[in-house]
Amino acid sequence: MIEVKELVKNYGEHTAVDGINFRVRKGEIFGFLGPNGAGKTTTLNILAGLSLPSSGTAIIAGQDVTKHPIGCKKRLGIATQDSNFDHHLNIKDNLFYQGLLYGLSRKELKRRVEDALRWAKLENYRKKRFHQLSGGMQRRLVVARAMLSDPEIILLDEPTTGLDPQSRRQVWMYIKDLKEKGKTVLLTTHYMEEADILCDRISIIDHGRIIACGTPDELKRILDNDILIDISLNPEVISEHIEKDLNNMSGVNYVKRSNHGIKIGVGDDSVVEQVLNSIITKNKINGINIIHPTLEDVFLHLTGREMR
Amino acid sequence: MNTRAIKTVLAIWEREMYEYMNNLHVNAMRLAVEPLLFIFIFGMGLGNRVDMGNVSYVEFLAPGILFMVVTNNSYMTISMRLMIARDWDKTLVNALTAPVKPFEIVLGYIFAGVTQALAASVIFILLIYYLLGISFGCIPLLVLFIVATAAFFSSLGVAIAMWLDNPHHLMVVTSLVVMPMSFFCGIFIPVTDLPEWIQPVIEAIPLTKAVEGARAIALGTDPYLLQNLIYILIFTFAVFLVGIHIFKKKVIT
Repeated sequence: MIEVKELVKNYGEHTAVDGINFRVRKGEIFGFLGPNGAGKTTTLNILAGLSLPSSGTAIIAGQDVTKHPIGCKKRLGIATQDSNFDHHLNIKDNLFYQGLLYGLSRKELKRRVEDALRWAKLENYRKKRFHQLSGGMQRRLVVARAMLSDPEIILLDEPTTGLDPQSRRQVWMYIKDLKEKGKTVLLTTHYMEEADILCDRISIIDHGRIIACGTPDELKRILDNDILIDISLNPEVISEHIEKDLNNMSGVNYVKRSNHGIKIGVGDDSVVEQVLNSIITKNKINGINIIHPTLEDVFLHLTGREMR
Repeated sequence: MNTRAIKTVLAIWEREMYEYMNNLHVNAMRLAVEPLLFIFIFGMGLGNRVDMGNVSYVEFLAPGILFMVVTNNSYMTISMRLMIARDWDKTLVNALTAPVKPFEIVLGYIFAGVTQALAASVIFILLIYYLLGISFGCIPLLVLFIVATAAFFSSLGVAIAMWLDNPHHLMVVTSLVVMPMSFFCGIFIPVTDLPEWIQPVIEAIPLTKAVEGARAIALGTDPYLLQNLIYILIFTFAVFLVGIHIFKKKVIT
């Protein structure tokens, strides 16, 4: 649905997007994960026709965004990072006047506005102004507005930035619902957990360049050790025999003694059970902590630093 | 211009008019009170001491104030609305994400400016006629001048609002450019009473042509109506093109 090739965007001396390539498949949620200033919003703005690329191409449903902006925009709905609602109009009128720009008939548009408000569970707030809504409601409304024209592709720029954890999870439900409705979603985020939970595939972008792309699991496999099993037990009871057995077990990458017990790095979940069985049956365990790698670890591994 | 483009222009126009009607109480105060103050204070107060020959000063002043109304209701409203849409509530970005072209959005704003100026003019003309018994002559001809001048000042509003990056500068430009235009372009005093060296400059400003045209229609003093109208339209087209150019440059980075 979206194909970006060697896309570059320069602002004077500064290169915001530096020759990126990616492809978004029909019906998937594709995440653009990276720190602030990585080039995520610039890329989205190029796709939305708000910015022109310095070089390279961006194709939406077979049409070049710079050559056929109208055709591309007809297939797009965008929820920008800025909420951009008219503060003097109520939310229903805001949706109506945005929808009017898509050339819909008044009757059809009124129906869609009501549908959008119902979908966002804001039908009882239709006479409210945007600033009178809570942060979570505002973001839901912004996503609902992007759906007004019933587009095939929805671009979401940082859809949950600034929200409390509860509101964030609510917005996630709505984004998942977009996928269930058959929409193709491209979202940008700097929240690792958000990308991990929502996205089918993720591109990690930093300093205008894509440094990795794949499913969340594929990205985590970039790391040498998938899962860390941290077992608390009296270190004195750990015999060399146990250590040797663990090291010989298939799928175990390393075994290290720690102050409070032993740490074992394993390849995947199936090995976890095997490891635990071999230790639990022979020792008195004080505690077990199983740590799966996160995208944060992947980012750290790829860039040598934590996300800004 | 295809159907989609026409629908876009009308959508922007409708939205601006909806906002205008929502604030009708404020707009009505501005529409009625402000120009009447000028008429009463300058026209009827100070005007009693001014000798304009065979017409009273208030009769001389009324067509001029009419075009002050046109200027305020096109330039001021459109520049302010566009700046709010770009910098304050940022709805301009949102409009641009729809399948529309920048020039259609600009045209929608200009149509709204012309409509608002026309509505304000009609109210002013009726008030002056019923309160003071002053007639403005051939109304259809006057409407042509009002529409052309409102289109000029709406386009100027677009160009200046999009050119300036700081909203505070809009007030400065208004105070230093648009306000002096009102004072020099023949609204309060005939251009021929100004120093000779500045007269060609003032005569070149479209507002002067509009005020002279309106006065000619009301008082029958100037035979160059068509030339004045064409002059204003040429300037309108030029400023419109400049406005579009700046608009595109600023909104699509």
